Amino acid sequence: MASMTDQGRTNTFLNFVFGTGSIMTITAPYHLRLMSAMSATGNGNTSGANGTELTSGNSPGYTALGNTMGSSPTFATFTAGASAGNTNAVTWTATGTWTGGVAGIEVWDTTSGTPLRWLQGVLSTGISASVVVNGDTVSFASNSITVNAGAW
Amino acid sequence: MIHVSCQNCHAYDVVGPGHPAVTYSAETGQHLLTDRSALRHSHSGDCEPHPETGHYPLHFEFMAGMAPADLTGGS
Repeated sequence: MASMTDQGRTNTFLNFVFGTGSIMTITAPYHLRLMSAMSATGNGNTSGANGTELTSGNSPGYTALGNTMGSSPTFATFTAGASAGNTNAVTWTATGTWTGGVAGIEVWDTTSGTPLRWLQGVLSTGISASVVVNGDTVSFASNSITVNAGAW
Repeated sequence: MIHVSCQNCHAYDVVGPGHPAVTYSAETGQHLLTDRSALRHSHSGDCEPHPETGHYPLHFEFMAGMAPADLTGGS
């Protein structure tokens, strides 16, 4: 997922490196959130705005703030010119019809009080509203979410 | 692309642009899996629909080797 970094996090890094800002505290594990829509700018990156997360109300079996991406490392080792994938699979089991649909994903940490969004992206093939029904499972396999440093 | 399989008989579709279950939204520029009934199944044996929904329970999986091309960002 090139270019899917949250600009707010990028700005914090740049202020830390070149300015007077301090680096943020990160609390693992990271969580994968499913979004029914991304921000008005299309992918949430330009404006820094978050998308619209599924809820347990419109998507029974989904819990707000997403599912954990498991123990560290969340992603494989990053190297120049290559993408690194998620280490663990993340799965939800629907207990009713998901009327929200799944348009994109976001990766958040679990910082107490105010979790931070780190990555986000639109699914080029998403799942429309009401396609997922009771008893279905929705899963992101290990290494299905890839990130690279080439276009941050 | 999404690997969609029956949880019982494991018949599957690889769903993406061009698949009959997928519709393109010009509004969002996104392909969406919209038509569950267009998914291919070859149910056999004890493959039974969910008792409450009448649907065959499916597993929607974004798989390694598929999802990277699925996921686009951009700023």
